[in-house]
Amino acid sequence: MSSTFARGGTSSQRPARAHLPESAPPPLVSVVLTGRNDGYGGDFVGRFIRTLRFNHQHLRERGVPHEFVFIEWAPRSGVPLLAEVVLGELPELDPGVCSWFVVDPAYQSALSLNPRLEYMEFAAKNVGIRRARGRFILTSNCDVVLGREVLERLAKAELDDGKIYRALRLDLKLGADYGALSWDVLEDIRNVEGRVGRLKPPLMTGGAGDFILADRLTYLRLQGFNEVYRLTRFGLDANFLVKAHSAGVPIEDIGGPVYHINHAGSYRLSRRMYAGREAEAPYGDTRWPAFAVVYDNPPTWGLALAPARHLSHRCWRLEFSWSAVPPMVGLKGIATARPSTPVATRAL
Amino acid sequence: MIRRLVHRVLRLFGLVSARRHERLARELEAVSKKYSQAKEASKAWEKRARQHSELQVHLKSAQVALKEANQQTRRLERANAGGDRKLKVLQGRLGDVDLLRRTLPGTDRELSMARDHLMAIEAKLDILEGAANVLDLRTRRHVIPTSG
Repeated sequence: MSSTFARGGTSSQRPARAHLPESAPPPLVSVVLTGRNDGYGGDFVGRFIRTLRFNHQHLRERGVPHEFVFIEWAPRSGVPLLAEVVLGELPELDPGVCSWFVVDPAYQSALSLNPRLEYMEFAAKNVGIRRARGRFILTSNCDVVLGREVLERLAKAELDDGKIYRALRLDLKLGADYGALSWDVLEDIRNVEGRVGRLKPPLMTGGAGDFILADRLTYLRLQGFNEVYRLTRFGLDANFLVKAHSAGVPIEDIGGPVYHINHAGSYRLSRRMYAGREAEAPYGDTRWPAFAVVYDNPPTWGLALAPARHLSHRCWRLEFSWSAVPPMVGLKGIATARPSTPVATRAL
Repeated sequence: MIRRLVHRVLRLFGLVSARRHERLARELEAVSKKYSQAKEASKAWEKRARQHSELQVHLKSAQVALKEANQQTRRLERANAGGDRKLKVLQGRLGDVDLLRRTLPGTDRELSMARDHLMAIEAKLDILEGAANVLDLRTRRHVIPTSG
């Protein structure tokens, strides 16, 4: 067992560093994103390109050394790869700032314990976490625009190791034509859907899948997101924060929001559709004890052992191999969450 | 003799001598006086008799009240004895409550732990159920239907 924050884990093995693209010096931050060319939520590609262009432009303007680690999870057959579409549209995303991993669709069927679950978002993000090179890793989503304060913190590199940073998510109203994204559009309170909440300590959950920033070692110590409970994608982000809190990792508000471009099919909009038949939801059942349990991922988490085939410069395909698939059932990998235990007392 | 005869004749006509009249008037007055006195005495006795009756009624009420008071006293004594017993029981229970209060945080922790374990078991059961469903689907795909 290579568990780092694993409860009762005794091994001192470090997780294997899987197929990291080695060339340029490591950036300050790796932004891990996942998606595929399936029209998710309507014009997925359009939303993604606008968001990616905005984030890349503002990171570059502020001189933040960064890379985007994109996981194209289980792409549909018969349509072009998202990598081809996006990289064609954004020539400014030179290979130095972008790594792309296309994951064989067989992994979705081999990993999933819920036939209704359409997309294993957090297993995909784990693939990116294991392959990211940055000193810090930000797991986010393709339609999440970084706010001004977040960019400033990154620009000043005012970030501590051993800490998790969260940002409040503001949903931009559905259906509005935002055109090219600008600060005027993003920071106009009239464009925000619903009331503006706040992140509540200690866990600071709520849209966590849109922004979790931590140094790479902390992500690796926490073993990424839960890969034992593979029945849902709902609550796995909160479950990661529960594990972090349980392991004594402080969780802090970074000080400003990120903006989510709302779309049809988002959990926020579609949860009412599945009220009373939660088990049928394509994002998995929401009724699981995400706040009460922690996990100890298998050492191969993040498809560490998946063979990578080079497709083009900085673009790889992770071929299917049973050796990369964790056991179907790993009951010892689920345990009760405990109140804060200092990281230092855990076996690393 | 004649004088006596005259008196008798006069008496027949309702006449008496002045001296006799005077004597009779005095006697009448005395009798009237005695009658008045007797009447007053009678009234006084009547009053006393009434007062006596009233006193007897009061006495009876007082006796009843006394009886009730005695009964109440006995009841109170019994209640007092019962109260003492209950007080002792309550004091005993107060000790139990103190003991419970001391053990409550521990029990609360144990309950919380049990609840957490239950949730972990629930998550594990979800995993087992999911795995069984997946294996079932995979098996069905590979089973060749046989016709009887």
